[in-house]
Amino acid sequence: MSGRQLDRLADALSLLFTVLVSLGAGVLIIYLTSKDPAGALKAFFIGPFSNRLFFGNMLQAASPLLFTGVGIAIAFRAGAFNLGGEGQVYAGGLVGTAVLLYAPWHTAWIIPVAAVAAIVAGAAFAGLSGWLRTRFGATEVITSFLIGSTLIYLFEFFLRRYLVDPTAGFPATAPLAPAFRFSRVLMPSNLNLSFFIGLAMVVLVHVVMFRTGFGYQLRMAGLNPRFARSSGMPVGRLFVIAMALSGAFAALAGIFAVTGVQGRLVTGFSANYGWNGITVALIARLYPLGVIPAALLYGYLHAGANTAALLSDVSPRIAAIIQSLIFYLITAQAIFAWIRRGLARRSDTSEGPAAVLPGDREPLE
Amino acid sequence: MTGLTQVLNLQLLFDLLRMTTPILLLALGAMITDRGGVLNIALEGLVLFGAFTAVLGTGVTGNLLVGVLCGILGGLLLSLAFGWFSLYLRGNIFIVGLATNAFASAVTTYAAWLVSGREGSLRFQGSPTLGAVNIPLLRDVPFLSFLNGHTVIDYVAWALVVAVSIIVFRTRFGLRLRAVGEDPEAARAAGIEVRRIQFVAVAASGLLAGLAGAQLSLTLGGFVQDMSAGRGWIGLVASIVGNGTAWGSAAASVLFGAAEGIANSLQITAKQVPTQLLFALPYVITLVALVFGSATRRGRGDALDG
Repeated sequence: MSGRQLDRLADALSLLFTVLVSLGAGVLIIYLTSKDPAGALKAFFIGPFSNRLFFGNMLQAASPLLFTGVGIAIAFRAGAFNLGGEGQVYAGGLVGTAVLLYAPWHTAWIIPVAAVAAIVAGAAFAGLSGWLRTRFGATEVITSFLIGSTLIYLFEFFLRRYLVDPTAGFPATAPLAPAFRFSRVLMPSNLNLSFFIGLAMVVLVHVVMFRTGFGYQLRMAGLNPRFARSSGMPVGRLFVIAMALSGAFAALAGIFAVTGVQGRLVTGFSANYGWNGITVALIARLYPLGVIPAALLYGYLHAGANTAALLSDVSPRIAAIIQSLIFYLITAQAIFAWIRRGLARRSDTSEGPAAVLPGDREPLE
Repeated sequence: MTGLTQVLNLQLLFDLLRMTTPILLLALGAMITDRGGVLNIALEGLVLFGAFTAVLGTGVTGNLLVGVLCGILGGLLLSLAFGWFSLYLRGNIFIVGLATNAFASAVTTYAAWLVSGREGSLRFQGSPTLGAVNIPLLRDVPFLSFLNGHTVIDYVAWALVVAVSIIVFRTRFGLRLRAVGEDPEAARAAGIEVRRIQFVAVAASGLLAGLAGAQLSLTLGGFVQDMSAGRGWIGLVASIVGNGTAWGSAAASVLFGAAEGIANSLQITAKQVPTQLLFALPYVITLVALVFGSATRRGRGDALDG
């Protein structure tokens, strides 16, 4: 094997190591806190495959992450840290649902209109962070978080003040017209059209990122801004566009969660789609196609924790703990270097792990 | 002389100081790490974790001092994890910071559920709360009475402004810290162990964040899920707007404390203003301050722009 191939192998193994260590910690917590650890662990690991309902729900749990994950992959590739995904999901859900609620015609053709409205909202607020960085030098790492948090409160405000259905009994809109709901697959699970739209989007982004001049410019602007600028690329504009695109995908996750699963806008409907999209993109090593297995892994963790909570005495929060541990380890270059050294031969030279994020100043020794 | 308006104003100043404390402590922590070249995204998680361990320590022992120490220890331990994963395992500093926040949020919620059987909060029956300190002289001076009756941590926070200012600008460690932040390569060439200095800075921010967490939860007498409510981020911005000095950070913290104080008092006095908009107010003010601060900083020559 060449040095480059060994790099890839080491990267894959460090990924496996990260996931296994995090899962192991989850198993340990279940073992220590559950009264029936064997039953809880069985429900966690086997449960999602045990019937159509759990299996379909597992796939559906992955589908918002296909959108948010691929969006974050675009932003990170271009060197933009979008930390406002959670708020952009809510903005998309809010604006898209408002379109559907006030649409005079109840036909499925309104759904694309609502999706475009959601995209505009998500792209505008994410793009704003990008613009504040290029225009005023205010770091998008913080502004995107602050704007995202504001959006979540604005979502709650507009939902409760203007869109709420008073007969619902909790902060939610009236159910959408049946024409505005995605058709289900694998009944009685939640799996629906949004999962397949997500797969198509991932493939589309992959083609754009790696087969077009625009994709090349985006990647170069992130990888080596100085080179990109000197070869005439509009680095600042590309930065804003990448932020806007990632916001657009987060917003799609929001509106499709409404048309696909809930059928109405519900308070706090995003199960950390925005935040988990970041880890999913990093597990995918910022390769759009890698987002598919990464999102499925997260869907599996989510479904496993839910079945364990349903069938035993474990809190579904266990998934969040395991996910945060993956988050801790997923960018650790020392793990890569450690495994890479184990694989090393005298002649080869390592070029480091596949995707290097902005902010990683230290090159691998 | 002692009209109603004056009483109200003094009450407002009193609330302002109270709301400022956690942000001030976090801003000092952010300032220390920022001087060492680490943008400390993890503060939000550190303060949350400190708030939780403070309540746990107080509840188990019934002793407030132990509780405060537990809060500080909690913030310190999690900051060591943040520093170890980012500096020694060489994880991306922003991603490990976010991981710290996610971990703190998930673990405190899970642990609160394990201990109390309830989702989202932790409160021990008969557990003491952090009370006011009465300073006889201050209490009797009419215009300064708003300075009286705060918690010990409120006063300690302002003493720490002086301490941090001295440590960062008047000691050998401070000199090295600033050298690392300004040019890590040059610092390394001069024989400074960059990573160790940054690790110590991160640990210091953990101590301060833990203390801030203890103030948040022990004045309330309990832990509430995600009770840090963005203060870590606001503290981070306060240190940036404060231009990396302790007194500048303190001044910015007072501004953000005022924003929270106004949001809080409007919630009580102006019932027609929706609470969601009031909750959003501190974030919006922080955003505006950050953009304004960054713009003026940039005008002075782009040097600090990453």
